[in-house]
Amino acid sequence: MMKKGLTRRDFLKSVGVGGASLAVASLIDLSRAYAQSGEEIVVRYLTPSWASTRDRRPERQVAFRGAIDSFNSQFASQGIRVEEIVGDGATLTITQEIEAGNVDAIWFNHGEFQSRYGAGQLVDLNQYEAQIDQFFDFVQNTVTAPDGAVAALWHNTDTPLYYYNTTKIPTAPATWSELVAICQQIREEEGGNKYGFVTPYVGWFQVNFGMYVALGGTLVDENGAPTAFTPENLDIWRIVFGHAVSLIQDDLIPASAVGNLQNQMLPDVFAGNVYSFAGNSNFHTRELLPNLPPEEYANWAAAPLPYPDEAGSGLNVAGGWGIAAVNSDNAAQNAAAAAWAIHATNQSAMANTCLAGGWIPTRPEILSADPFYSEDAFAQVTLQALESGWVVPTAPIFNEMWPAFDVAIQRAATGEVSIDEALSEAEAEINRAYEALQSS
Amino acid sequence: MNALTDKKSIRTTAQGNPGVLERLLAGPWMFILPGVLLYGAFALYPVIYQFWVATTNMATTSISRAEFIGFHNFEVIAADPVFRNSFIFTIAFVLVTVPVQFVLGFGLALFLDQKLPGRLFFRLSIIIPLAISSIIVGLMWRLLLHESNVGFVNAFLGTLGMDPVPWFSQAMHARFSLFIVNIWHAVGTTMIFMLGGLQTLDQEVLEAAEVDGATGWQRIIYVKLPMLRTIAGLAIVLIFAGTFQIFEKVLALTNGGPARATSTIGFEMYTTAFPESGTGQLGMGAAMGLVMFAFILIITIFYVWMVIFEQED
Amino acid sequence: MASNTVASRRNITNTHQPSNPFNYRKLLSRILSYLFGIGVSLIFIYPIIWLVSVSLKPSWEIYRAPLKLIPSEIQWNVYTEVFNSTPIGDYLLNSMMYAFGGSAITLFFSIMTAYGLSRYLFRGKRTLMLGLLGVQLLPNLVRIIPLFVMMNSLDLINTRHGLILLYGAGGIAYGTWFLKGYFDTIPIELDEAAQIDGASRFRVIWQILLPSIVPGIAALLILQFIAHWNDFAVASVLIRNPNLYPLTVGTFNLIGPDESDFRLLASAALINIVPVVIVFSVLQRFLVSGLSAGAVKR
Repeated sequence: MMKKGLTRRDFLKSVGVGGASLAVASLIDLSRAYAQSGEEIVVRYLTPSWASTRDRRPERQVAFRGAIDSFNSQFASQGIRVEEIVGDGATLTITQEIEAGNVDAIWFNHGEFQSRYGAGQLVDLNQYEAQIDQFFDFVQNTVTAPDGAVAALWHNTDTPLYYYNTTKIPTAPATWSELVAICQQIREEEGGNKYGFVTPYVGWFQVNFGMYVALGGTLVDENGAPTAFTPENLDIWRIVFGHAVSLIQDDLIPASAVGNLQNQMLPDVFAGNVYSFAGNSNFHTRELLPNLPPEEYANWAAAPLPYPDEAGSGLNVAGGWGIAAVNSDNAAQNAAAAAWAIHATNQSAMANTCLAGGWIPTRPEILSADPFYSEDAFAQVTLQALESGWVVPTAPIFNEMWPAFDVAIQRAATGEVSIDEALSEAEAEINRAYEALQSS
Repeated sequence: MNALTDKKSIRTTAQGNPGVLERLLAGPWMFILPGVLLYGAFALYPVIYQFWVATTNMATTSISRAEFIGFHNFEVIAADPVFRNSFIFTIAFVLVTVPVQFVLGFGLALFLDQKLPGRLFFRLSIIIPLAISSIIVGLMWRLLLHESNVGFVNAFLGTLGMDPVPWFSQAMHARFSLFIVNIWHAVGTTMIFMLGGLQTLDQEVLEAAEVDGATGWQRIIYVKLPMLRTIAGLAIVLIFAGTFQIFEKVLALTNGGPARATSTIGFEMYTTAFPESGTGQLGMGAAMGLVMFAFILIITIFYVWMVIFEQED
Repeated sequence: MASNTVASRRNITNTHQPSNPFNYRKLLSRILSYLFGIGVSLIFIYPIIWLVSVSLKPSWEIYRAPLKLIPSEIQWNVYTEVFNSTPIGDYLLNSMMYAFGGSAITLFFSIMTAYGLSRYLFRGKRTLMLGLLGVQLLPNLVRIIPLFVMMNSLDLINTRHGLILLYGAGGIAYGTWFLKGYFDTIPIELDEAAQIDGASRFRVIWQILLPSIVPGIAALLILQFIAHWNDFAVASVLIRNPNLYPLTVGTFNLIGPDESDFRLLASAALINIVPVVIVFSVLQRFLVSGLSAGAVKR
């Protein structure tokens, strides 16, 4: 009997120790949450780590710290301050944090501007004097909701460019047939591992969407239904796919391109195997300098992407990220969040943070007047390309079309299926996704 | 949590006569229950909960507003060629991996079973990859197998006069890359198991076989392997279970490509439920998870059956 | 007896190969064995050595001279850069916390459960044991979605204690089986003698049983530690706050599609690999015997 009592007490003691240690662990999180509440208005600003003071690159840390500090000193008299919450930038995280009421302002992808505004998550920034007319035209179109509201302020943009080694390719090709001629010439003259061009086939279908639209193709109608597979549109797809497939199958670009993301094709460029490539105006410009042998960097230049001969000119797909104020049913809170969104995208904050990030600002005035951008050759080419900037549709079905076409072009280029088969596979998948979307 | 499990046990038992609680806290359950309850709550309950999630249209944007939709998710994934392909690929991948990994692992175990000074070093080097995370293994082999002449392996093959291998851009090559990387990573487990078995073998039986004039091969196939029957069975079950859930290596190595040729059930499930952007289809993902669960369950039943069989043998 | 059999074996081989070639052959097979062993070792170890080389090379040399092991110029700065400019130090600390916390919880509950299963006879014991054996094969991946939903509703997403609790609970079935084998090797008379002397059961576990199964505890602790350290799937779903990332998730996100720096990738991968490989190598005796003993006992 006595033994039993002792055992029980010991048992409870051990359980207590285990429980207490867990309780301490949870208190740490609780105390952090508690510390956030206060008298003043705090704009809790959710941003991915690569666009925050927590990024690995010191210049970004400094630039974002600068934007936050300047806001806080400017609005200190009104008792408003912004506090950065570093997240992973994933759609899921942003949705969860908004639903939980944990954030007042967000940094997010341009593809979600309209859907989040439509879901009632965002504040109309027009009410707070966002001067949207100072931005690029395509930016104004994208951020403006059907009811005239401004859903978000687009902070930075990027567009694909044609990068080339001027010692091998003195003038950039303007059209696809000129590009193919250059590729053929280099294969004949050098052969082996040397190629005239490379472009990623994974996660890069947006370039093809731009060229398809430039050729007169349509993607979705005004009701959000896919229209990409009418007989006329299929003919246009055959041109686009035919170009991409023949580059691979005629051995005009490295075969590895089919399986490569935009970063995975770069080692061939850095190794000196490839003399030109389709790259992103932000990412690839940033990567060239540190990875090429020092004496070779000066040989590289950029131009707008070559376009299909049948089109008079190309359309360059612009993407990017913006800042919005989260709707909170509290007018003062909304106003403070809107003030932050406007402040973070004003002329000086945008110039600093974009420069640090290696991004293209969405205010043309920065590109033409800022001492860095006005003299940087790559930035000026980007400005030129963005004059024919185009933004992908925001209809929900488009999110499903993008991966379906991405897979289709890889399947066709590896020769697994013919172009027509790949297109009908994509059509079937998109139709299925559209039905699922309709039913839910 | 501890307090919670304890409370729960009190509640369930206090309803009966008061003596039960006394007896329970004195008996084996006092030791067993906390662990079993904790395991049940965080490891078994989710498996059951999965059945419910799989019959709803739950998405990452509407977790609390999920609606029951019956077997719709299963119908959708059964009709989806993408999922069907990943299903077939997973099965084929397992069927190829299991025998190859077993033979290689057993071969290495036989090699290490001889009295060779320095064999501890050889053994260590074979099992070192086991300590590395799958995701890091994928990342590092993506570097090593980089195509054209930039990656180490292709550059090395180049010095032997061979053409660069398209490790990731051709479907069959990408599958092969995944296969060898997986073998490189996991063959050590099989080796350890079989080596452990070999070292417990009765030396006298082996010597008797040698006296009878059995050659090296005959001794392995007719003497050692039958004696190692049980442990070989366990090793095969473990390879099976481990290979079936391959996911992280796919994510880091091929990202399912080219054109989803290397997409496995696990990869398909993860990317359906937690995509990089857009809404995650949790209900659909859970249905895929149940398909995977069904297979693991079969393996598990087989495994438990083997243990019972061995104990009564 | 042992020396006898060795001698007799030598006699037999001698009679089969009567003349001199015996030593010659033996030497040849030794050399072949070593060549084979070294070749195999290189296959498994060289990739890691190559990573070290990549992380120290000048960037352009990685692409222009992939085979060159010794860089033309050794640049250590990548490591100071990685630690100074990325939160990888925080990720390391997080990983340690998760891996150690999870293993400790597993160990505590596994000891209790294994003790109960080893020292008591009761109805349903065999069923429970086979049940535990079966469920421990279930990988976390198959229940990752319900876990996410469940942890979300318990508000345990994006918390350290949530992940630790989950890791700890998930290891109990395996740990119980693992430790029960060790408890079974200790004669029950030892406990009984101590209990007659008035020691409580907890005292018996703590003072008598645990000291004699230290190798098993060490092996379980290390195996669980490595498993949690290397986990990606569960952590990537449950931890979405970059401040709380473990090393695997942090590294994977550091090297997204927006990053082409091979040196960064190689150094970050090595930071993942080195601690766990050192632990593994130093303690491999425990591990190998633990793993295979556990297997043989089953």
